[in-house]
Amino acid sequence: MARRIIPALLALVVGLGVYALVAVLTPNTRGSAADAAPPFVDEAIAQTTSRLDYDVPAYVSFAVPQRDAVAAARAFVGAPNATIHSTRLALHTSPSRDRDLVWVIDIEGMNWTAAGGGLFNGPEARPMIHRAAVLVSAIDGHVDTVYAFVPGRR
Amino acid sequence: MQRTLRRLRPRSRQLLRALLVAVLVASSTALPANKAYAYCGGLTSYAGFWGSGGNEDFTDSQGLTEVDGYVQGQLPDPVVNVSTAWYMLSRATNHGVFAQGGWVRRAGWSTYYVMAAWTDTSGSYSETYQYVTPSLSHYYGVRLLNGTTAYDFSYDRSSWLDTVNLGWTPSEVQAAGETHNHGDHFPGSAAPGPYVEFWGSTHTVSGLGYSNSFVMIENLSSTDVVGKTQLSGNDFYVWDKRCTDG
Repeated sequence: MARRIIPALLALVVGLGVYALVAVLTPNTRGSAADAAPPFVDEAIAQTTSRLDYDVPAYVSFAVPQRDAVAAARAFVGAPNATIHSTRLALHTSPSRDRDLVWVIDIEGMNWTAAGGGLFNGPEARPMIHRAAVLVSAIDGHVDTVYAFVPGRR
Repeated sequence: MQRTLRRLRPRSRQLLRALLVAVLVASSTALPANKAYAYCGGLTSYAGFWGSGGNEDFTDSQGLTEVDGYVQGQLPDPVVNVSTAWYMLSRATNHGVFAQGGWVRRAGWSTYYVMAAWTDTSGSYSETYQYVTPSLSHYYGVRLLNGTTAYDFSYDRSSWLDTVNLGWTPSEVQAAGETHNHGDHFPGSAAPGPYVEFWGSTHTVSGLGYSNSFVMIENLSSTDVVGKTQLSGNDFYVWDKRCTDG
């Protein structure tokens, strides 16, 4: 009995080790390691109580490839040649999102007039938005959430 | 069908024919009611600002914490730049600070997103959008969180986003539709028709809820674009005067 169990356990341990090694050595499928803490994205999301957890377990799988997520973000902001500063897989938590798996795309190149402002704030009071964190669902590829931030102007 | 009709008595046949005709007439007259979008021709593109809605000043009654209300309506194409409809908290003495929640649609999008936009006292500006399944009517809310200067945004009475402390407390509420380009579709279409209605809005002062009594205002660029009708203090609708139901 032991003769059968020990080789099976060994095979299981070796298999898990190989899987973990592959996951560690292929970081590009989950974003660039150099982008572990994208400063702009952190700054934008820090204006809210929402959180991004980049420590996505290796066993978590995603259906949407990184390139498709980037294409969705570019189409959404209407800037096909927008600069992509970073792309990272993360778990997104907000009051209405519970650790949703998303691609976090730090994108720059759009030319948006700020949507916000009141009836007494004319066009001169509206900042331009050129950069945003676009969160694309890694499950079905829709643009789920956008965080845009323009630092203090006073 | 013919055989079945022949088997019926003449009186029954007449009744059946009358019934069929009635069904046909009813279905044809129902078709225009299903028409979702009005025609909006002749829109030209130049930058500016077109907005219409209401405001209410609470400078004299401290303790304003919340504004909520329905936005009902559709936004047909085209969207050249951006169109929005929202409720917001601000300061009557400093309109540079605000927390605003509603919907937004930008050029190229096939639908609208739920939007929150806010500023802090340093002049920083943020806006966030979140995907929702589109439907005709939604209830939006903006609330000052108890004992803080942080704000919560809700959608159909569920919180969807919280800010950090922004450094100001509100003394004014506003609700409006707006667009930032003459070539945009202003929220709503021809009236009567699929206009955008703001209704059932309330504010909270010192923990108690009251219906709003908006004073209707619009910006000076609005004369050729914005139609508006106020039904009561917390119920008004807006539409794009350039659209027809044709």
